[in-house]
Amino acid sequence: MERLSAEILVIGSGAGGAMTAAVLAERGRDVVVLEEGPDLDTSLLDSHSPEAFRTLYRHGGMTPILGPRSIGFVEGRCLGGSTEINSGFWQRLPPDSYYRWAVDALVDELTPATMEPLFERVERLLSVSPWSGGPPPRSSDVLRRGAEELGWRCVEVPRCQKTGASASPFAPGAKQSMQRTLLPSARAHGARVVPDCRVTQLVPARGRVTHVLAVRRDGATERRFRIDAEHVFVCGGAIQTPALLRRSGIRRNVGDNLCIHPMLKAAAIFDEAMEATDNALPLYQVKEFSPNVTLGGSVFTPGFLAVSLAADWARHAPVMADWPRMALYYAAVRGMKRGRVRALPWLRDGVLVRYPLSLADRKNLTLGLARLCRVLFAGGARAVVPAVRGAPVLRSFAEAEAWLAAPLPAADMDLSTVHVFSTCPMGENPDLCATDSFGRVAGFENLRVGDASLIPDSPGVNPQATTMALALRNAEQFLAGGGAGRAASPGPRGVAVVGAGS
Amino acid sequence: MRELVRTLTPETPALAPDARAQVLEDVARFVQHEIAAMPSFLRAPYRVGLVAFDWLAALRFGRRFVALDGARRARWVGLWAEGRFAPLRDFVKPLRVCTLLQHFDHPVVRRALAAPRAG
Repeated sequence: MERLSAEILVIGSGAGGAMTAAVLAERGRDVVVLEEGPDLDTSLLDSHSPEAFRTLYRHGGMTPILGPRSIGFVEGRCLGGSTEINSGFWQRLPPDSYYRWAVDALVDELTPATMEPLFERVERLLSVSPWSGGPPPRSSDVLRRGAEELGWRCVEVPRCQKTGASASPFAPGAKQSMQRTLLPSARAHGARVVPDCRVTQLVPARGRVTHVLAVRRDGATERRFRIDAEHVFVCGGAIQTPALLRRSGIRRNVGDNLCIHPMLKAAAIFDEAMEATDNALPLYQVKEFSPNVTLGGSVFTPGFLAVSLAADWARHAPVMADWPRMALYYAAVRGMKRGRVRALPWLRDGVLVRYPLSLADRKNLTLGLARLCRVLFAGGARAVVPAVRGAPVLRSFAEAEAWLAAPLPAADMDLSTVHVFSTCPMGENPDLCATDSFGRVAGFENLRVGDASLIPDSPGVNPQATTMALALRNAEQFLAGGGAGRAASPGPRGVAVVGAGS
Repeated sequence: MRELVRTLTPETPALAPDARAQVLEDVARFVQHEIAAMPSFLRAPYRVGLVAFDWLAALRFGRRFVALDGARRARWVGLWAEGRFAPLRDFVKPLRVCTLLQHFDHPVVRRALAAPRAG
């Protein structure tokens, strides 16, 4: 078995992993980053194309969250993780979350005063900024118009994007994902990044992870190797991180508290032409009902429009004739239940994710859809087609209101989510938390979590900003505190694999 | 799989026969890849479901799905996709979603969709 040694091992190269690696490498630490997915240049690929689904998404974008109604979930599986496939939304943690997390999870030293400077620092690194490409896309503007008409609060969501000119975050290379920001920074400071490398197990003994076992794909073959590291940061995301911990026998409060933002989409038809073939950027969100319900525009192409109609294709297929005047929107809610992540034994990709959609979730989704219909009709829609089996083509808000008088049946809703978190909650509450307030796994001196798993509950906003600010906070606390751990004795730098034979 | 994808692929927009053949080929390849990429604990039962879908058609039509004509194939898909039994609907759903995504975002179809607007 081949061997690799490092002072600090970071597992995962997404928002949390890249942030952790960049901070630690910049301070002169010997860092190795292992990424399960391939190292593909995402600036050359439309991140919402079928080709991207095939190459950048875990399970080709076909990961279900099981339950009374299965919920489609997508996450990146490539260098840079989900930051390579998302829309680059940036939203700071809402003030109410600080209070809740202090009371429920007993998180120490997490206040707006400590976090806001961290958000500002990360925002500078990722060029977080508002749209500067001229007039907003029509599909976004109708949402703003509708909210204005109703007097609802509507905000432009800033993005991680190149500033200036007319660069759309969807233009090739414009989105400031981890491939274009923190991973190059980590590498410039000596971090070694190893793609196509799947960690199979952490090997614990007497309160430490002594080493890590991994498999690296090399063309058609796979090579097993072992990594010896003084400190291990697991940053595989809110599904893969708890699965790896549980597979390694670390199970206390791990994978028991999954929170999600279930999302229900609807296609709207207007009199004016929309931009389905232009990769139009959704700019605005209606925040009048946040944090429990958020309304917004979705990425849409002719293919995405058709998929949204697939909930009842036999009934809704004729609507596709109107595709040039259609755009896609969503109602997302804070899920009220808690799901579970479990690693299935003997299956290399065996991760079972369950979320029991509750009556409260169904009510919020139904209410969210009704409000979405209201704002779209106020913005000029002449019809709305919800992604719901048996849904009529709604021609007015009155029709929508009548149809949505009772909670929609779970089995009829075509639900998806891109926000999952809280599977290794941080804090000092021993009944809830898997790590301390800074991500160190309970009972381990050298094992930390650094991704959205740490977020104690659903924040009601896109979690990338919070994940990155927490990763920065926790990496700095590691450096300032007991982070030095034992004296580092890293192997030779720039050599990816040392030793030979198996 | 090709016969099933062919049945699920919309007739619109109108394409020249060779262009349609190319699109169908690409859609079938994409759908096959997506099934192969499923989590293994779902992939195996799903493949069993595909075999069952094919053979159970014989109970209704006297022939396997792959041996049916286009109209009967469409009826058999409809029985599963629009029926009252949720697991059958859920079986067809991923195939339909992948087919629609790759079909309508295929460059050839995109060009055909854009043509009337340009004209």
